[in-house]
Amino acid sequence: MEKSEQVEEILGRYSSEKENLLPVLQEINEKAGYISRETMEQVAHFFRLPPSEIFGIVTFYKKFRRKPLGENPIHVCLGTACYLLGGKLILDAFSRELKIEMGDTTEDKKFSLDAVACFGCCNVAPVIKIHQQIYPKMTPGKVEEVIINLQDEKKNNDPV
Amino acid sequence: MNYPEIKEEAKRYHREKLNDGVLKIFVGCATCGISVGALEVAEAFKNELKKHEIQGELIKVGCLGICFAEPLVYIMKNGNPTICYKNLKPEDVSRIVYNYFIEDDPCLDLAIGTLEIKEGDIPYIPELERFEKEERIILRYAGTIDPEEIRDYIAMGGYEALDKAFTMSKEEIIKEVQQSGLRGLGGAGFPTGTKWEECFRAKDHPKYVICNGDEGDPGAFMDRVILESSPHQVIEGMVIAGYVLEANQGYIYIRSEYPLAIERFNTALTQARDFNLLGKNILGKRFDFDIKVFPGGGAFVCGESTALMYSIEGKRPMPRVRPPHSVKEGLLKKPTLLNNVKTFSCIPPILLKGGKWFSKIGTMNSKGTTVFALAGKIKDSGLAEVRMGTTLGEVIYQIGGGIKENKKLKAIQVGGPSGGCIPAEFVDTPVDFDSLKFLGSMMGSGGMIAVDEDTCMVDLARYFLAFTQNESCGKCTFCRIGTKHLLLLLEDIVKGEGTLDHLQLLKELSESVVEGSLCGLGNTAPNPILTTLRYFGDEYTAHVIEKRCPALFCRDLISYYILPEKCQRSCDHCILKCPSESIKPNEKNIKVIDQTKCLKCGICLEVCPKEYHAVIKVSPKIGEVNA
Repeated sequence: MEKSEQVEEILGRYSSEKENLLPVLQEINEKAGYISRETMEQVAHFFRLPPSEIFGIVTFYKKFRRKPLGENPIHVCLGTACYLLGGKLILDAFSRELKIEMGDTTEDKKFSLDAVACFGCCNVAPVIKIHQQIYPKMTPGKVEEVIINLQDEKKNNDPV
Repeated sequence: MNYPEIKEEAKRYHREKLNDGVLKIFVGCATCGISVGALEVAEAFKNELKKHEIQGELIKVGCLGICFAEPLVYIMKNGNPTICYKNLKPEDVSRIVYNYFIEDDPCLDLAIGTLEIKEGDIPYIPELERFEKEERIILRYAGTIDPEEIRDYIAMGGYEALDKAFTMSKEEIIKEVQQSGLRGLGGAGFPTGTKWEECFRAKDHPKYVICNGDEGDPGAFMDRVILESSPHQVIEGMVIAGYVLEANQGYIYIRSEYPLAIERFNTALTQARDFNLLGKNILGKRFDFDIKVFPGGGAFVCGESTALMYSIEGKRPMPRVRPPHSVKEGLLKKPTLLNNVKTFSCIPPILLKGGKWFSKIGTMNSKGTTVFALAGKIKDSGLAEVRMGTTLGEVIYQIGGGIKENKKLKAIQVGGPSGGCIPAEFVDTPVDFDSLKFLGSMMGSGGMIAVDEDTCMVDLARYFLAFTQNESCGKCTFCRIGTKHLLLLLEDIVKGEGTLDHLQLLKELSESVVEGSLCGLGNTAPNPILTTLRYFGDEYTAHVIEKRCPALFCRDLISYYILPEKCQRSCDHCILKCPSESIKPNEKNIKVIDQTKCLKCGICLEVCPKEYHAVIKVSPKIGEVNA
């Protein structure tokens, strides 16, 4: 089994009490963007638990991804307020423009698309979140522009 | 330091901070403000002050609960009343800085009112209709104190209840809580005093205190606002509980979708430790108590107490059969007291003012106040804290300002996926645990979503079912498979493939899921279906028999149509934006949608200029022949 150094580093900061399992998985998910099969085995080994149990927990929580995140992870809110004001149409628009389904990442790894339950920003619904930024009052018509801006931003930031 | 010294020090700090004559700019920086640009506004103030070489201090505060007015700023300028500005944009800032700070014209057109006594034409905020209806106990400090400064909280009387608790016997504290009549504000409404007493009487040790901040209910954000705006009141409530139970360890479970709440809570914990209000020998007493933040993983079922405890233990969070109740066998099989963020927030005022005072607020069986997160098609969305017994109509119209675009209120959805839809004719229903239950809904965690004529009730039920079905932990057959079948039935109906048999089956299966599930998730999951069937049966029949969606929402039952008499020939916004190229001009240059290619994405409706308003939705859908 190939051990990820990043995961080892994270595990090194925790003790192997079961209470630490969720915090460890959260940190891995946040830093690596996802939790691979290999990582689950590595974590299982550390906590001296069967890998199936780790799998059971990783698949239980919505937050854990099992596929790598795109460079621009797009989270479309489908909380009640956002849904009523057209959140689904926005999700469909991203899905159509990026040609990926919810939960997937584009082939060039630039974008990934997920739906979330609620950011608690219902007052400016419908919203999406990319990196730490909330985009208030989204409409399907603005989707294309959001994607283009993110692509441009990337280009401008790349060293020439 | 003992408490009076701490308080004196905090008061001095607070007084000096506010009265040093320096201009103060308070910016609402909870998630709701930040999402609409509060940080940019703060930055603009900083730059403008620098440009004009004006001395001023920027203070980030939490949320006042009037989220619709964000970014919200209030300004204290020497010699003037504190003025509160709403919906500020960075470009408004230079005007305020120049006109108000330099020229002394307060730009009242940008303001909502003053926080002090009324002066001239400007309204006094606490006298606005919204605030007159509200009674703030839980949200008492939200938006008025700096959540990252413990001395602000202490100066307002914070931690005084803890100091008082230390002079009382544990039985006396429990008695006050019982006398207050406080019921769990996480949704279930279990009497808090009884819970405390049962946990107190449990023999086993150690005991644990847990605060449930896993606000997984989509559309509810009260707990987030409290944690982001006034975290210390929750800490104080938890420490008091810890003292009563002789517990040494507390946990707060906060959903990880609320990073700012987690960050601010952690800051608050550190400051409380620095002031010896947490940690070893609190305020010199022989009592140790500390709190750990546990970020949740985004599973709705973790709001159920036994599942939440398994989650902290690192196990798969599946609810278990009760009894034993968690007050006897909870976290790590030890006695555990679990209350919601709002419930803990009520504890300090109850101890300070007495249980009797609290029990005078509210109705016969529901005491105190409750906080609603108003969202959906409401004009002034945000938080509202009202006395139990206030009517739904008062909340929607007087506090929420009514429905957006002056449309008609159709229903009020209370309690999220576990709640139900209450039709508009019941707006006079008082808000309390029992009245809502009687109508088939429930208080739930406190999300209140106003729904207008553009919302399809069948699809709303489908939406909630899709949520609960997805969140079912899978333990009970009826919840795991039953909700799936309920969802399939509803999906058939919104696609226009339903029959009258579907409706009968929906009702029967809903009742079975209620009966056959162990925890609240399954017990209440069918509520949205049962209430919509009960109050909006005609919408179901329209979908099933006429294949029509009266609210023009269900995608498979509608078509987009361009009204030829309204289409402006020289404009082609819709053609340019249509992602499937299904709009073409005819010989008269009037745009026509090819219904066979239309994706029903809604972009043509969005981009058609308001003055033409040529794109409409129709249902039942236009036959492919006459497109």
